[in-house]
Amino acid sequence: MNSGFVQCQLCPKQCVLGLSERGDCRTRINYRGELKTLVYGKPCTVHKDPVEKKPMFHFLPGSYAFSLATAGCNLHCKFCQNWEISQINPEDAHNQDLPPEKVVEYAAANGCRSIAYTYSDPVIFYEYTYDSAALARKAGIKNILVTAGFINEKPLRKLCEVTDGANIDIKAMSEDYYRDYCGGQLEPVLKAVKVSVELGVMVEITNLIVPTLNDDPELIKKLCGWLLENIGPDYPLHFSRFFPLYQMRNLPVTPEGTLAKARETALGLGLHHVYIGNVRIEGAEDTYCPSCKKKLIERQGYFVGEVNLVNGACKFCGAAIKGVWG
Amino acid sequence: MSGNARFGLMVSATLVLLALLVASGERKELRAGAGARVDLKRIEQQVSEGKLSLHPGEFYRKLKSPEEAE
Repeated sequence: MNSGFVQCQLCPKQCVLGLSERGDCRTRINYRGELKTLVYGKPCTVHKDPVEKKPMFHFLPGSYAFSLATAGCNLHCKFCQNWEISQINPEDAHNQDLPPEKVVEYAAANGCRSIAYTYSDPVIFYEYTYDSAALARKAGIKNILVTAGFINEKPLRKLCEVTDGANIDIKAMSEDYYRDYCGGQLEPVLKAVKVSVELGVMVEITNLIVPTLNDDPELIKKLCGWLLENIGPDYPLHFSRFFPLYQMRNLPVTPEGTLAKARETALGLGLHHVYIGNVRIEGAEDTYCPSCKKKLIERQGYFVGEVNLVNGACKFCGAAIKGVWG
Repeated sequence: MSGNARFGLMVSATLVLLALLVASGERKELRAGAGARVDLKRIEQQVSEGKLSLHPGEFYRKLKSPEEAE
């Protein structure tokens, strides 16, 4: 006997929905006893971005990513930098009708070598992401997830089959932080990072440093230690600058010194590629060879200058550099 | 069963129940935003205008009762 209740098993929240109720992500509803997504083919944001903006620094540098998002999110970070779309219901957004075939067609027509599912979180527009990514693959266009990685393992494994790159947010190495400021959990995110790497996805990690909340040097060290132990030193780490938005307008912008210190700590602990985002600090956006220490990719903001890589290896010493380069 | 064994069993059972209670409380807190009712008429209207979809979602199960939820 069916009660009319459904349980979503896409993300670790596992929302239980009665008839005509919506999930915590706002996009999935119980419609007459079936789970439906409101946002399939209905993005509220579509742009052509430099891939560096994602940020993906080891992924077709200097190329463009056709970037899209729908309304909603399965996390509710009080410091969200995209809260205008992530924390609204899809029916309150200005949505476009853009089915997967059109996404791929527009990406190709605009000279984009990749499609980025971004801004809010592709987990909450899962079916749209998967179908678009599968079509993009057939058309020779790569796929990038920009995500908080708050997803159950089974759907993640399926999505990774059509994913080439992912920037995964690790918001802080603290369950308390995830609970108190994001409405989520850390453990599933760490699992998502490991599974993505295991399945061959080119992963880059972002850590948004929010003053007084997660800028403790011990948290930075813990993050670096976890990365070194679980995925090794070669996957890039981006420390990103926080701007006071949404429910954290009382906090200051992240000081440049805090970001520089975090980068220094991460490099000192043995990570090979550590970058600073949302602010210009000389040299902190450039890629260096971990072997001979020479500059491999010069960047200024989203502009890519000299590239000293040959077939994914350092032009000077031949060391292989982790990434998707061609 | 001796009195001590029975007492031990009762204490263990209580601890297990407490752990389950805490775990289920954490899960409920995690999905605090879930369960809000939607305006179906408004959604169906927007679907007919091409602004929203009612596309089948993957990764879910039907429950015999809400208590059956994991």
